[in-house]
Amino acid sequence: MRTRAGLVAAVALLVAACGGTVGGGGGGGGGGGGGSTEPVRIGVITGLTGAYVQLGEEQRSGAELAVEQLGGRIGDRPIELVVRDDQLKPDVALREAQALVQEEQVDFLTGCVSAATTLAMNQIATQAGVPYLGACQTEQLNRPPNFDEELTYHLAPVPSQTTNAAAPFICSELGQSVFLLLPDYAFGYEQEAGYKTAIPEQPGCTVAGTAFFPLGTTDFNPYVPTIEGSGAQVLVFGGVGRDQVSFLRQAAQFGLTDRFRTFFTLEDLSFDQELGFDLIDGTWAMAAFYWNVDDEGVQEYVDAYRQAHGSPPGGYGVYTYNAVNLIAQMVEEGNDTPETFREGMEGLEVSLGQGDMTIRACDHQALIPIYILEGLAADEAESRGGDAQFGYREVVSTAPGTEEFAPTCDEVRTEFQRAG
Amino acid sequence: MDQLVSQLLLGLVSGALLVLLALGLNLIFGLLEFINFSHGALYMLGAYLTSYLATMTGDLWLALLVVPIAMAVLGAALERTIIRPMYGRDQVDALLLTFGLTYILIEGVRLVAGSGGRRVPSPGLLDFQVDLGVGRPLPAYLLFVVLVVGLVVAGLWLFLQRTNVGLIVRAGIRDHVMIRALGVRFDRYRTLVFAIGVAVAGIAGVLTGPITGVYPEMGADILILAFVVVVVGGMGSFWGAVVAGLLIGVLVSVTTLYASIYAGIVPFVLMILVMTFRPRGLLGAT
Repeated sequence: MRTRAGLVAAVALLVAACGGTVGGGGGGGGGGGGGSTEPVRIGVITGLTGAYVQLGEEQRSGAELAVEQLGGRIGDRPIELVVRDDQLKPDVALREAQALVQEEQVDFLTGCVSAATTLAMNQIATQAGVPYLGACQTEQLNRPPNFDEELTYHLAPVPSQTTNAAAPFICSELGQSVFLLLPDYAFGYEQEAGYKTAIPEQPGCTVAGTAFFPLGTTDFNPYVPTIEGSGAQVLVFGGVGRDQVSFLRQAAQFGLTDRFRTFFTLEDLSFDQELGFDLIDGTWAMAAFYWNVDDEGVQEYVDAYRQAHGSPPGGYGVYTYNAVNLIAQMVEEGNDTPETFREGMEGLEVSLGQGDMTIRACDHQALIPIYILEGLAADEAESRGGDAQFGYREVVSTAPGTEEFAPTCDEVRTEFQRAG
Repeated sequence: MDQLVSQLLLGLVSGALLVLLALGLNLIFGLLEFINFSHGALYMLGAYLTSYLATMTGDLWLALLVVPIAMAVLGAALERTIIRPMYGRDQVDALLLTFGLTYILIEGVRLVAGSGGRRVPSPGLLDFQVDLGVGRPLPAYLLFVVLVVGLVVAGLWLFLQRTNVGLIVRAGIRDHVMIRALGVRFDRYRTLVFAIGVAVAGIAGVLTGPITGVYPEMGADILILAFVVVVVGGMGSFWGAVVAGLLIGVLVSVTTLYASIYAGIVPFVLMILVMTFRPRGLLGAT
């Protein structure tokens, strides 16, 4: 009996060690054919299996769309896109990044849907001297000790930028007592720090309580009494992907969304589609990209994506779409070495899939607008959401992509000096 | 106090689904001595069937009837084709086989339905809260889940203990050579047990859909806990799976109230303690 129990326990732990995912490696990408000129190799590593699979698929699609729009070439040089799955695990991200820089000899790396994996990729990229364009929300990528001023770039907002944008809206429009339900990994803790700084800065506004849930949680029932016991008026949910879908379904069953103004730190169209109008109606969310924003750059990307996929894009594909386009612009201008790439990127003002964007020089952070979105009922979608099928939300507030919301360069420099 | 009572009740509700999944796993392991690693993927398949059926009909009820039958047929087919040759072989062979089957099922679902999740409509009839008189009111659907789990547990127990088929199955497990010598075609009963185990996974899939939605990796996520329940309860122990499932549900729930960041590791701590101090499990046979 001991042996049998041991065998089954070993299986349980083996599965646990696998993080509950059984998906395999990712696929290869498109790109141009082999010409006489040297190809530009771009590696994309993202979560194609696991809890954030929707975001990972979007990142693959975003990069592929950009390559397609570029005609598979940058000038005379064909683009070779290599896409790999990190399964949301830092060790896998590390391994895949090593394979991409050593075996595939990529010139640039991009992608990520988790703060944990982006640091692994950045580590390998900086060791190999390959520019890395981070594509997920984290406070750590372009901060010491991870930031490499020659090679690290961050195209997604830092969480404090989003929490600074959200706090005034939450406290003035939704309620002054806020409960935080956050994922138990780096992204959740960064949100906690951001909200616990930004919310008390709003007059009369407080954080009534905080709870953390493991990534990939399917059962949110045990969190209900804690949330209810907090006496909060607003519930902020910081989870993404499956976690968000499971949570909102269960919150609605318990009637939480009727009693609490519910706000999601990160919206994505793929989650909205899975949830449907009934569940989204009466909730709020935040995004660094929303498909019906009235901007020429946004709509050009949205139109191309809709043509290729039949539906508008979610919020994460735009980062890799922008990354490939930025790389193309730099290579086109002859900035294809890490040194010249940096020169071209620092202070760059460009309009891409998120509209106007600035890559500021001090920490290579992309400054982009942050949108507050209101969830709509199905019968409001066409008039307020812009589309009967996909108009799940309406932009009700926009925080511009300026240092008013992001940490300032002075603050960043102080942090760098403190870290030596 | 009221909050703690609510937490206990919600723990029991969460544990009920674990019980169902672990029971199917344990049934196959306890009676066939076969570790079915694909149990989670079969549960996922049941949930996907539910999603399609419920989308077609607009409700869950037909799925609750059809999916367990469809899954039982699939289970019987699997047992008669690829599982049967594994009996008597090293359990590592069974693990490898069902691990491969898991991949095939998950990738198959991805090919057909895509990597994203699908919605399962909640039964409109149960869209209200029930005040039990203690703790917070609970969603009627969750109480319905507990009721169905209770019926399945009772039904399985009565089937194994009170029917001739159950008697033959239990006798065959003790000595299948003797059972065969008595003229019983025991292979048929093995097929039946495997089919029932898969059907129970299917029922768990039906019930879970409206709570979490469905997605290709959903089985892998919960299979870990189901294995832990089996180990904690005792290998092959029917009531062990029931007790351990509820216990783990309650422990996770109460830990969430006081220290949410540790809730995820509670089942594994319990498993280590059980394996160290009571290797046969809480209710496992000596």
